[in-house]
Amino acid sequence: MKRILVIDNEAYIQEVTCISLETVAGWQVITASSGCEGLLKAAAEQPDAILLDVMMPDMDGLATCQKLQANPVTRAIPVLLMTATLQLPHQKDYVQMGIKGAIAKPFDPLTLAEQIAEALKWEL
Amino acid sequence: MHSCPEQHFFILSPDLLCTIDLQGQLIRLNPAMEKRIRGLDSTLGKTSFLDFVHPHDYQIAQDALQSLTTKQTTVCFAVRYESEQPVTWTFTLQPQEYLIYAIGTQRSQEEAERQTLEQAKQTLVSIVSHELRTPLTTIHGSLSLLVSGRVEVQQRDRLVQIAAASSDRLVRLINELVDLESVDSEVAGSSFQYCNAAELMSKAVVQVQGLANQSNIGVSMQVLEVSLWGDPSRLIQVLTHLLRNAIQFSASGSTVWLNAERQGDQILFQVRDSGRGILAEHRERIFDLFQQVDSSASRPAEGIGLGLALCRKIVQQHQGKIWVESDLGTGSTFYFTIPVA
Repeated sequence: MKRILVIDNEAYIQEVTCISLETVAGWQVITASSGCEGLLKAAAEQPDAILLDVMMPDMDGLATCQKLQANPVTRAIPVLLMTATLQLPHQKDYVQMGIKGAIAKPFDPLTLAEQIAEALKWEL
Repeated sequence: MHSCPEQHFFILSPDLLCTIDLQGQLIRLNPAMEKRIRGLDSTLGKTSFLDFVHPHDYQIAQDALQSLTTKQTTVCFAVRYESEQPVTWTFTLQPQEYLIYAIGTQRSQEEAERQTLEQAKQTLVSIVSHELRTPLTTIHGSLSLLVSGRVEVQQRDRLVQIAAASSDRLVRLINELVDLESVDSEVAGSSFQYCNAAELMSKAVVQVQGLANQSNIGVSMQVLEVSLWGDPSRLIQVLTHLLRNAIQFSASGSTVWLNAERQGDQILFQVRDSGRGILAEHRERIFDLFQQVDSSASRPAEGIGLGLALCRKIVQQHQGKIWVESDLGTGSTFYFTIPVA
């Protein structure tokens, strides 16, 4: 069973993502409401992947990503961005920041797990 | 002595013209150039072209100057001076004279305004699309899961609640957008009338009472019986919005306060909460529609929407001011003033 850390400041998005991944794929979901909380939970919980919102107050998704990369404890955890905007970093910067892909909002909760699995080359 | 016609062009040109030696020392300036740099801080003792350039753009200008050789005789670059408006320079080297002929063009006011407007429009589209997508994501997500029939009863109820709350947020956002537009196009003062501050405050509190009860938050009010000249429905909208924000950012069991007091010829309204407070760098920006999303795409607070920008517009139409004071961890107080009738 996979364990996914969802970092999003919107509580409802956290909940819907959580229900989606738990119901559809049977994965376990850990949530964090800010970049800061996400960094702590990523280090402590060592999830299999991180779903990271780009637009967050205080520390945004890309800043969080850089901090995840800078810490040897969290560097290896693959990150997928969740974003409502189309302004994503350039593809070549992706790799450097440990980003394995992006999921556009609104996402389809029934295929979200599939999308994650595909991006990370996991068998469902 | 007759001066040649070229001399007149030099004097009359609205563009900035000057000659510069290879070290960047200014040799001759036309009146437009003189006027441009005369207004800058301490021109005294400065003789180099580079001295006047904005420190942030110094390197650009220096690189341009150094790039000129007998092989490359022209270079084009843009630098700022003290103001934000950049000047686009074309440097042409005349090797036999050891002189650079520099032509600087400034953007016209209209052009600058047009660009600012264009930027504002793009930012608005980006804010609105983000603000719309967030509730849409949860509505779409909840409904898809419900329709799939794969969720348990308990989760089903929760998903319905989430979808309902998110569609409320969507409706509020659309209303705020329409209101922003209509406040803009209204003739200021056309729906103004005498109203009583106490009455406006009571009506606003009634409107948020439901939300307050739901969130288990008390609303305490100290009314002021004084008459003012304004648009009652818009002023209630401001009070309601500030109260709703205060309630949303307060912990269950706490209280939000609405007070008004007279200060000279102004009524000072206050909406206070004991929430988490607002970072100093965000206090100005939260009222600013176009500043909410900065280049790093981070926002001062979640779900803040367009409401505070709307509040500021309404207060300004009433010749008032709106601002916030806040201590991190102990709460925020929003203030606005409206002149006494």
